[in-house]
Amino acid sequence: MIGLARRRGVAIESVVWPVLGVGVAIAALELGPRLGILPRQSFPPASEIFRALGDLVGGSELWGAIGDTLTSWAKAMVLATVIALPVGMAMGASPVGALLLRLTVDFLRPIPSVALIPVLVLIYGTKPSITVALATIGATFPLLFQAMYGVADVDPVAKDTARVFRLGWSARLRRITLPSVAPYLATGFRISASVALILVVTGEYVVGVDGLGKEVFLAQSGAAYQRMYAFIVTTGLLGLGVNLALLAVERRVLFWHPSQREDGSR
Amino acid sequence: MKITSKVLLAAALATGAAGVGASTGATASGDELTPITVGILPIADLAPLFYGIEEGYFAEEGLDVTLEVGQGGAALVPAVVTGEYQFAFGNYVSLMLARQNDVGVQIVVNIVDGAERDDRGTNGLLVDPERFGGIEDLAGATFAVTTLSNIAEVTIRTTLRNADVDDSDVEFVELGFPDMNAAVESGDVDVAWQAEPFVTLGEAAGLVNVADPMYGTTPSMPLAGMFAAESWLGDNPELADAFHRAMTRSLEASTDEEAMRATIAANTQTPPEIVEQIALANWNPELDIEKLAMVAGLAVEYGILDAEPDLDTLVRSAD
Repeated sequence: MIGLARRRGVAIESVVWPVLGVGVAIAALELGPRLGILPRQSFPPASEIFRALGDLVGGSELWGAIGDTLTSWAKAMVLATVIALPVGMAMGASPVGALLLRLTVDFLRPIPSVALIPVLVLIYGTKPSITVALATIGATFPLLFQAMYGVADVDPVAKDTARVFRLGWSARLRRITLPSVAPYLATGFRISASVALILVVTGEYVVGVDGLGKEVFLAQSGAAYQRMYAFIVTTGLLGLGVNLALLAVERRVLFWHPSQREDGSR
Repeated sequence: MKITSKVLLAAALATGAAGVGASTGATASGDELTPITVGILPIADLAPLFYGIEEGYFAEEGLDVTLEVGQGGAALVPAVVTGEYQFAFGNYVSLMLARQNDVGVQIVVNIVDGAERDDRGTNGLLVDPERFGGIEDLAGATFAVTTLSNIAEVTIRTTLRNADVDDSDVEFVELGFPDMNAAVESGDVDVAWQAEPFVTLGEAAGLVNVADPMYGTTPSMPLAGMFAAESWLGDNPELADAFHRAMTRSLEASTDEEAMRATIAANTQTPPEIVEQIALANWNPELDIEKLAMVAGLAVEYGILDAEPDLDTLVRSAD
């Protein structure tokens, strides 16, 4: 009984505090421009931004832009997964693989993806594939490193035990490696997903590919500030939505893992 | 008149559809529209282009125009050179720089000049009136410009020198037009090399326009126009001529101020109440070669260009 009451208290608190935090942030964005703390002309009060967002929700431009952005994002995530998982797992599983690839990967990783835009413009022009390429490059590395560390971190005792029991290659992968790697991959997916979304929107903004980033650029070029912030808010909400969706998937797939159990006990 | 052209257009489309495959190499007098892609910026300077497309001037020349918005020369020049776009909008100093780097682009038609008279133009040097009284105070100032070592530096240095202001210590910082006014207000830069609608917005926010840098360089200074890849122009002279004719006709229609404002409101996202207030560009289909040579000479003088460009190859001779 006591435990239940305490849990309910925690549940209420976990709703109240975030709502209060968001409320204070919105109130500050409403009052800042109205009190002249923020420049009113280029920083409209929150209520005007939400009104512009409300107008956009009724039209087709917003949904079209969200669709374009999410399409590029999804393609990039598929490509990044296809590249990162085999390479990362190979690097984690065999010392030779790590030696073979490590230097190349370490060289490529610190190059900011945005710095590749000029090169990508020459290769892809200004078609949507440029944002996919950009986001794929950015999203590959977090996933790749998570896969590598995940495979390298498989409990050696478990591995040896499996070998003693003469488990086959596929059984070892299914029973030992994957359960051990899965939480690493889940984290990698979430990091890659936000990185990919950021880069898709950046590419759209810089190059002018259809999507939310281009809408921000167009509104900014026309000094339509309410509209510009409405699209920026949309981008933020989209990122939040993607993260929450992936967390929900993670909770379902990894329900057995200590990190997902409510009391956190091992 | 309008109905006739629409009927003609419909007939042309119908015959084109009926004779699929039989109409390759169609020209302006042929029966099918040739698709072309034009790279643009989402700005009021291009109102005549939007207007001409809406009025069917390009369709009547056999061109089916698709507009693609880019972020300035950095994205537009490569897209033209790779053939993704057939035409794009660019400023002339950028195009001279491209040619200097052996990028084969050519000016096809002039679009916009700087102000002709010393009244309200689309460009301005915006300052905080509490810190600067006029252009004579700008020696050693920091200017926000859209692109370093380009047309902004040419016009700023020349305008200062023409006003007997020392330009040897001025500094330049790269910022987008939408960000410049805030940078002046916060004191991060001293002067914004600004363009509409942000001149009007800046003045509404209390900034003061001390000079039009284009007029300050020379009246009706040639600023920007449509360019294409030299190789494509060599292969498609009829299309280039057709585009030139349609664009010229569109620019001649730009004297209709009301129509231009309506077009700007419909094709950019600038709020209508601001479109009513902005200065309109000085549109001109004729490229003044002598003034272009003068601009080139200034760019060489300031070290922006290595040598005087060959204007005969930079500018395509129409017809």
